[in-house]
Amino acid sequence: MWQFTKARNIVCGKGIQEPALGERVTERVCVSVVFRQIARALIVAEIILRFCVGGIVVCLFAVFADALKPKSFAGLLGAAPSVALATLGLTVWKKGSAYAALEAQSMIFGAIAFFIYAVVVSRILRRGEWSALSVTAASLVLWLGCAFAFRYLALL
Amino acid sequence: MLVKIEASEIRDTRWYEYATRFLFGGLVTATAGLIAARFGPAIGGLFLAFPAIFPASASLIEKHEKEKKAQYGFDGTKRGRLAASVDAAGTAMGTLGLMAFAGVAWMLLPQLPTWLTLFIAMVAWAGTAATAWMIGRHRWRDRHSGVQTQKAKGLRA
Repeated sequence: MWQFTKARNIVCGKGIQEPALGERVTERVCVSVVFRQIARALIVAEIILRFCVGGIVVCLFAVFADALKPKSFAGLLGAAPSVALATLGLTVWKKGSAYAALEAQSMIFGAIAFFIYAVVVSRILRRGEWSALSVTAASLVLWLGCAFAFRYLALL
Repeated sequence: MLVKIEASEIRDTRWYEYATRFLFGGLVTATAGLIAARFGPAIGGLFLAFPAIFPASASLIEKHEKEKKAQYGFDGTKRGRLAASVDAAGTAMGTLGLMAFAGVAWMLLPQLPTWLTLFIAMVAWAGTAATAWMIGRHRWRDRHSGVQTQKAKGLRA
């Protein structure tokens, strides 16, 4: 047991429940506060890392797609596993290969939903009068619906 | 038409268009991680096949086609939509490759090193997507050259 004075400013960060001045705290509490701060910093660092890796991988595929002809072949890269490539490696590193394999299994249902989404978008754009952005953005609801429905059916 | 790489096409794309893709790609990747952390791998995994940059890519293709037509004084609205539609049809074939990628990753991740699994999965993606594209192209060509109709008539006779 020790008096909690100046040390609180060092070990307790913003938003973390900190004891009032003069309150007696155990060493254990202070250590847990430090660990929570470190864990929070690691989570933020991981999000930033995922953001950067994902952005770079997506851009690389986009550059390659822009240079390819004909456009129907370049369209293949619209369904490139850019997010998966950026994510699976980090997931294996952090949570193990069994966890990543479960994510990959779910990804199959997401890909089936993507197939339906792309076919519907292609047909609407060919026959409809709406712009590409409005059709592709509005149809994302279709992707969400299909993906969750397939996942739910598989769990039954 | 053979598949070819035209580096000059890259110059048509402006820096902010790549910045948009970087932003979307980064956001989707980070969000997929957060969803997996909050709701588990069964839900988070779905977002690994989220059409992250497809809306941005399709609208950019439409815009570029419109601009090309406008240079010659034509309204390229319909042409732009058709180009985006062709891109979407290609993407639909690409999703078959995405299924192959996910299937390979699911089966091999617990058994092989990560780098090797991802490499095999990428090969599976490229092979499946390219094969689907070639089959789709042959079917389209047959239908439009009337070969399919002739074959059907021959079979009936």
